[in-house]
Amino acid sequence: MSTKYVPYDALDDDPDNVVPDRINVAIVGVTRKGVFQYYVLPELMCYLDYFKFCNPFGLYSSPESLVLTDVSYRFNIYTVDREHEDEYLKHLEPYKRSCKRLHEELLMCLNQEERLDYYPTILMDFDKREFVSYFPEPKSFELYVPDGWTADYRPIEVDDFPPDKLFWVMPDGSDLLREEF
Amino acid sequence: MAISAIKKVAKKKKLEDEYVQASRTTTANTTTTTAMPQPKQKSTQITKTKPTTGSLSQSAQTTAQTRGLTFPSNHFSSVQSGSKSTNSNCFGSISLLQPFNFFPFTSSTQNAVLTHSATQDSIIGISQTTAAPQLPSHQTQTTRTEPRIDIAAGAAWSQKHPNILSSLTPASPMVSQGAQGEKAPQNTVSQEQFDSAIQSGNNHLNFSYQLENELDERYGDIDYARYIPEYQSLLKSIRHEQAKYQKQREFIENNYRSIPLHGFIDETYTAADHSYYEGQLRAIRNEMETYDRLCDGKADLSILYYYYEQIARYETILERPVNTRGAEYMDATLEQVIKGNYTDEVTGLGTATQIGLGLLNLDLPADIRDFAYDWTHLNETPWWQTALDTVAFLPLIGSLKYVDEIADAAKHSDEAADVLATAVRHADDLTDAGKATENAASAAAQVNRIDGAQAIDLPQGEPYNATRAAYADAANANGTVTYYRIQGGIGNKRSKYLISVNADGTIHINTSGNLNVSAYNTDHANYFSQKRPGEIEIVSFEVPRWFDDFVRETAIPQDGYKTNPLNQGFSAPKMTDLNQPGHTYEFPPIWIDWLEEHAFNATVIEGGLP
Repeated sequence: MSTKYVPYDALDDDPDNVVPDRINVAIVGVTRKGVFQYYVLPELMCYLDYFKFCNPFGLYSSPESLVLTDVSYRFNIYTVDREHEDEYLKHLEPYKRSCKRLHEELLMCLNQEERLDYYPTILMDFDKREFVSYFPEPKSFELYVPDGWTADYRPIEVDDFPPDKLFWVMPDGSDLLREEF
Repeated sequence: MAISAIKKVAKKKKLEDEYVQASRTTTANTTTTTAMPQPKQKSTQITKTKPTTGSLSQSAQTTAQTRGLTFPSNHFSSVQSGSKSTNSNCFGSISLLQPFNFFPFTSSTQNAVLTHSATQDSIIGISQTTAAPQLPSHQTQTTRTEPRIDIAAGAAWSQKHPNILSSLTPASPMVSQGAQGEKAPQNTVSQEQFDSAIQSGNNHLNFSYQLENELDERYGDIDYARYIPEYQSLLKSIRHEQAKYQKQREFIENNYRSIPLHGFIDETYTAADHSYYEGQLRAIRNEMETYDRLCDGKADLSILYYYYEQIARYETILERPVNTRGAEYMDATLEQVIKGNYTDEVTGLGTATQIGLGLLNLDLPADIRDFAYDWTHLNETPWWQTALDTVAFLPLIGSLKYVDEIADAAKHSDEAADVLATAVRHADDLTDAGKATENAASAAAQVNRIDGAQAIDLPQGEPYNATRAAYADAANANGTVTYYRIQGGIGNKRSKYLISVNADGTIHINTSGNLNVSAYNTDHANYFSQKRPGEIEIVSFEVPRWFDDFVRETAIPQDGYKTNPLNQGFSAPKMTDLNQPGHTYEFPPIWIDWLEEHAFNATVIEGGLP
């Protein structure tokens, strides 16, 4: 089987090798206890309430009814609520990315289309319990958040990031992600 | 991990390997050099060492001009200026350590050696040697104290390019960058090694960048030198590959996507050739500009000569008139049949047509025309031609009047032979076109056959009822189903333009990953396009109903996809965005090829959905 036909889901999901692609993998900015941190997450880890996602028509009352659903790749956590936040983010540690690493990966992109994969499309604020998504494919992450969260689907602007976390800005101020680069 | 992850990791690994190799070379050079320190530069300007003496000689320009090569005058001016500074965004100093490295080359077959002595700072000429030349050791090479360019060539190269020898003078900066006051090694390469070294991009450029304080503070110790030279090298190799395979790609696209029957004779090949040579010309120009800019006016003359020679070659090819011999032949034939004696163009086919018209007694207007020409051009027409045209109004005898055309046509028989040869050469393409037509016919028959079959039963259950209800109205009167793709968006937040529409209504899908499309109706496309306002692009295309049956038969929900036994080895389509209006599928890679194969009537919907 040639490489071209290896399905996305059949690939080895080594957290260290996951790269954003704007289709199935997103760069997520997570704020937790006042600290902003980037993660590169496969799509199924971006659903904060996986039970709602698995139960879109409300046919089931509890996760125990979903006998066919395997959440082992979500560390057996259906809903990332208050009591599971720490555990969930601890499991996401391998998906953490430093600004330096993202900056280096951005430099290695060969064209603007590849660079645009690195624009963060999801923001999770565990302090304010706010979820913002502008993921360009129809995934509807914002619809599946735990109770008590506010979710929105809107363009994520530069102002939404801490000034020292703009890894796409070169030292001379030039923007690697600008449209006409 | 996405497929792009594999590619990027592989690319990163390749870059790292190249970097390690380059670092070893750099280390080998810099550890032994003493006269070329690399001080930390705080400015953003690129500083270069000046050439030691002189400028490109006038004879070089004259030689190039006599050979018909176009040397841009600004290049010579930049060379003569010796040193110049180039603005850079964020990089410190760039030093040209060893732009062209042929080592280690071994050749014992070349006797005549072009020798460059850095001590005398000149080309000392061609020497005939009987013994095999001694190659310099690696240690000897790394003892140079100044950045230098080795100009070395074999006898074959010298004989092939004799004029370049006269352009290499002691005053030329191209040959004066050797180490001063130190004996330089003599290098010998063969023609093949020289060419392969140039064409394989062996002229590795070593850079050393210094980071600014601001950069250090923000990103730590990122070494931009690790990326940029390799990045340039990668771009260069990609351009080469693009130019190399452009011709094949043209053929593939013409054979497998759209088959322009009307343009099969010469236009397709001419356009493909033209496109190929244009690509080559563009690539070599870009490469030369990059090389010239990076060398900052100190480019190696032999390399520049190679570039100029290639540019002149491609320019000459592109200026050649398009091969329209076949069209010209048919035009001349038609002109002969219509104008008769009034034309000077005579072809065998035209004469045969005239004789045939005469035998069928359909050439009365032609007889009157030729009769009028003969009697109005008595001085130019032989008497026997006039006599024949006069009695040509009689049947059978009329055919004899074309004996002069037969004689002329015999002279032009080579043209007919060429046209015939061209037709034979393109016969295989016409065969391919015939096969494609057969395939299209069989595909159409298959569509009609499956269209008559019963719809496949959908799985039962509440979530699927909506899909089944929508499917009842999905197929239109033609038995096809429409899919939609929303792509694009605002600036750098746009989604990928994965589908492009071909001129013949087929689609090209530019991804090796998954593809999300809306299906059956515009409900989901409307919902998602309103969700993402901006410069979105809505692509709609149709697939046969049997294809959509296949999709529905194999699609499974996105939830639990990995553990679902129906995932067909992770190649089944996913049903995504389930509780939103309309229907969406996410196709794994193998489906993308099938979609490209069977989609038709593709359009880009302007101004939003109806």
